[in-house]
Amino acid sequence: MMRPVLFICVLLFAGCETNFVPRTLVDDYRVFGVVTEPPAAYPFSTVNLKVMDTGEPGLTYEWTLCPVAIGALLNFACLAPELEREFITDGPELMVDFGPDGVDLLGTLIAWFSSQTGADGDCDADCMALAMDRVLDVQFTVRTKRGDETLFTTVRNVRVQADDVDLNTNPVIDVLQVDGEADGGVARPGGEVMLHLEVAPESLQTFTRSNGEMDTEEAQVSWYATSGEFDSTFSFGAVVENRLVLPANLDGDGVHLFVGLRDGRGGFTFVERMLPLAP
Amino acid sequence: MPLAAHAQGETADDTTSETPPATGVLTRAPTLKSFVKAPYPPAAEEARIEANVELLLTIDADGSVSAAAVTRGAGHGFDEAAVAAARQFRFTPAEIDGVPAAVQIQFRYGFTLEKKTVVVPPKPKAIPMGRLSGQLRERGTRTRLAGIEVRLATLDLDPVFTDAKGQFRFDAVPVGDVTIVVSDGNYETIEDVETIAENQETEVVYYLGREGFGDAVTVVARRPKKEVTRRTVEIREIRLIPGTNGDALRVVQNLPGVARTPFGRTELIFRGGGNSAAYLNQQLIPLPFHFGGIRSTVASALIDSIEVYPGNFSAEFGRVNGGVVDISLRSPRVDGWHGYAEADLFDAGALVEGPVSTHSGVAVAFRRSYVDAILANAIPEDSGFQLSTAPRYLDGQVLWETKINQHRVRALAYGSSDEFVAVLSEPPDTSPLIRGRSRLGIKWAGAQLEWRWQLSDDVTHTANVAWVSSKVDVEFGENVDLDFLFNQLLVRERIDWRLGKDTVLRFGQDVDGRESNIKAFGKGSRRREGDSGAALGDGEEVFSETTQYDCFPALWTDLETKFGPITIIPGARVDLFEQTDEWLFQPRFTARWEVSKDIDLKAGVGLYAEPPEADETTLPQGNPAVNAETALHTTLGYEHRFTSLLKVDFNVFYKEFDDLVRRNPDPDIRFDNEADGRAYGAEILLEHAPSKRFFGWLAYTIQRSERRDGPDAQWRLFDVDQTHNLIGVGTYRITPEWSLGARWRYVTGTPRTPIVGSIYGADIDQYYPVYGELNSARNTDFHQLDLRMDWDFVYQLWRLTVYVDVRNVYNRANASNLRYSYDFSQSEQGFEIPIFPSFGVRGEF
Repeated sequence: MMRPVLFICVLLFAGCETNFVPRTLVDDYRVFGVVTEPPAAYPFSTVNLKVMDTGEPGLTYEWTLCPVAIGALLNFACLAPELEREFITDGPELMVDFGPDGVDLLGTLIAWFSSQTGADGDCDADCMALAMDRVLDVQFTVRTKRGDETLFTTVRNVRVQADDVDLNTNPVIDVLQVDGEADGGVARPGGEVMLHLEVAPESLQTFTRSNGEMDTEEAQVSWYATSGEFDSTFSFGAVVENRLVLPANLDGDGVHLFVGLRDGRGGFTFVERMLPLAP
Repeated sequence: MPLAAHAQGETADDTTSETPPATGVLTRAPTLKSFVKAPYPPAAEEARIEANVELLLTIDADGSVSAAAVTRGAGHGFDEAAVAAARQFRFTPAEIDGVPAAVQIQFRYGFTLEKKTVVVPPKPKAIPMGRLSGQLRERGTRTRLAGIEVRLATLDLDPVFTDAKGQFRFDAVPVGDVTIVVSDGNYETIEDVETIAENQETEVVYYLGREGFGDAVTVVARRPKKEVTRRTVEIREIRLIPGTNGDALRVVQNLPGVARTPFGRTELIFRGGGNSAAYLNQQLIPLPFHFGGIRSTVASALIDSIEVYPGNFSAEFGRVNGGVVDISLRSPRVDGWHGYAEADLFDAGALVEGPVSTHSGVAVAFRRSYVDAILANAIPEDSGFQLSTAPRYLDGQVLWETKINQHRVRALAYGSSDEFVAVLSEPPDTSPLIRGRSRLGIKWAGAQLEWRWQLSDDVTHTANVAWVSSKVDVEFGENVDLDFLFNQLLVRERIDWRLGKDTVLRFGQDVDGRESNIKAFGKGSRRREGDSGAALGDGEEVFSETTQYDCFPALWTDLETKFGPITIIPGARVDLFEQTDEWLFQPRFTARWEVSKDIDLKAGVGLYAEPPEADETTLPQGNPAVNAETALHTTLGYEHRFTSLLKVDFNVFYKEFDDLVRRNPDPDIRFDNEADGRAYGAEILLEHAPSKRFFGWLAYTIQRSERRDGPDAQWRLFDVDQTHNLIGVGTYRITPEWSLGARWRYVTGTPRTPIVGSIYGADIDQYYPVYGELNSARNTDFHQLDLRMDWDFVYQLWRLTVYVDVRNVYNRANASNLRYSYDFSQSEQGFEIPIFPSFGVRGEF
């Protein structure tokens, strides 16, 4: 009989208090996500990727592309070294052409599978079928480095479809209000900051799940700040609100606010706001 | 009184019996046919010394006394005289399941001086006579007591023993007052004066209070063991073991060779791994424990015995590479209606049983938890975590049995349900995916029909057909939705054929037909042995719905042959695994050498095979090319019975696992059989069988269990490798009403895989741990003391037991899992349950 998943302890621990630094507090270099445009592509498209992070002068970004990754259980390794492509950029942006003039994604897969199936450079029907099946998630691994020190390792998948029909798009933030103001907001020591975010409804697409059911993307908002505590680490839905409680000993330039919005299918949008210290 | 017919290792001084093994229920107690009066020791007679000598008599299947051991002597020559006389007694043989069998009984031989022998005239007309009859029952349970001696003091009449219905009778008793003396080592002695009237029958009923742990009649131990290592758990005692809430199956974890399962896991792990199987009345049950091992799914009160085979089990069991737990149900009581109701901190249960007809009995048992109500109310409303259904479990069994002549038919219906639903409105920092409704539901129900036919004195046929349906539902927010429905038709048939005095042939069939319906939706993967962790939310979303039919037929046989003191049992099993399209021949062999009456040497070797899990072979997530896993078991052992109560069992073992299923990183392969494993060690059990006041044991296992996740990989520790496992268990009856039990356990800390970094998964805004070398670290060692105090309030017709059980008496902070921050840069230790008192109450009638 199938051994059931025993996640009771996971859930029980999830409800337990811990003494860790809250996830929402940004006090060091942090990557908040990777904006990919488009978030879903087809084998001959060009994709732009940009790491959304706290930023720091002098960082380098080492990118590795792998069309057949093994997954989290094996630390996102690539199935074979010959499938990987590497890039190094001085900034957080990378543009990749999947087509034959760029990394030739499809050609790489066909060549590799033909070597695996003994087709000796030629790709028969079985080899082609394997290669086409592989066109699903292309994994990008980004190592943010300060000199030789790796600060962060980020993994980001780009969904590659067989064609460009019904491709996913990034969600759009319609409104982000801080204390009721679209462009304002200040940080007061010991005070609260009320946040209100609205997602453009048309940017949350309807799609078909693997079980055949239709569903609509759900917005997932991640909140971060350089000071204070949020009521919620994550918020869900097209219209969300949150509250940031600031410490009484707040000083410096103010509070840097970061907001990431995901649609659950690889789409990601990022916005940041600086809340100056109240006079 | 149904008596447990088990091999307890009790032998008399000069056991020479070659009586066939006894199993089952005492259907007829021995009765004394011929009493021999011992000559009064001259020195004692001169000194006017009187005495009682308590003897343990071994009565063979022909009614002769093959051994007489003094259990409480009196000196002065009384012991020798009593033994010499008792050796000449003749009894009507006892019967087990209708077949003459060897038994042991307690017997008190009294030497009295002052009373003159009253000679009953041979011509009844000369002296008025009456009759005396009666019944003995146990106080509190009303159990009819068989095999208890009843004598009439002052009269020169042979004592009698109560029959299976607890009845006794004297047909010719002189009129007047007689002193009736009822005595047995395990019960209080009663002396009562009754007046016998001429030509009338005087009837009495006595309720005897129990004074010890043992039974009045014990089946002789030298039951030939087919298996090298088999341990039997006696049900009467297990209720008193601390930390188990009186649960029979949980007591199994206190035996050597059985790992202490870490918090949250339910499986039984024997001798370093391999899956284990639990059988109930000869048929497989899907899940022996409710959630996390809280409680077993079968009412302990219905269990007659539990046989534990940590390895080298016989050919009649298969399809697992680890060990086997075989739960035998007792027969429903037919000596009237009985039952109990009990409740503790977690759940409440009840059982009712009684006769349906002259030959039939029925027992109904039920249990339901209520810890869910307590837990649900204990969680603050603003915690963001709510239990819609806290861990809730229930189970029930209905057993009907009839015995007519040589046939025994048994019908059993049983079922179990585990349910847990939680709603997390706010996900934790570690993952935005852990939110919404999560549910785990496991339900199974079954029915089985068993027919046992004693075709002749030499041949027994047993057939058992069962239907079991299991449903497992797993939901984890929006990410995982798994539904499994398994329907199984199980057929087992067995023939036991005694070919000669020293040879028994056993053979049978074992068929498991399965319909597996698997509906899986979501992304991520479950954690398997050897995985560093689970990968929630990783990978693409998949959906599959499959129905698969598999048949697992098997034939088996073994031939037990005795050559003097040496018994060899070659056997074999042939399995067809339709799932993997494999025929697997598994030879097995055990041998036992009775070096002396108290010492046995034993050895065993055998091949075992186990089919892969359903999700390992079913597309799209599995690989249909995966084959069965195999194992080689070897054991060498030594048993020594120091006294009738004290024995030691020592074993060394080596297990080799081949063709273990492992994950293959290639997404087109997913699983293969390239892993292997090994486990080796030694275990020792020093056991004190139940005596009047004490029972207990000391169990120690030292072992190492390793796995290799590929032909080029390094050996690493098995997930539940426990180098040292030491357990001491003991219960002492302070007074007939009070008993005190203790259990102390020490176990080496469980291996764990250190986390050395993390990778940020930007797709879902979750960090994934980067693991160091698999199982290269260990939790701190575990040790814990549990105490239990029982109070018995015994009334004539019912009894009340109240107990207090304190776990982790000295509040040891035993490490469980580490908890990590959202990015795995920080960790803090989690701990298992601190000091935890609980209590319970039980009333039975």
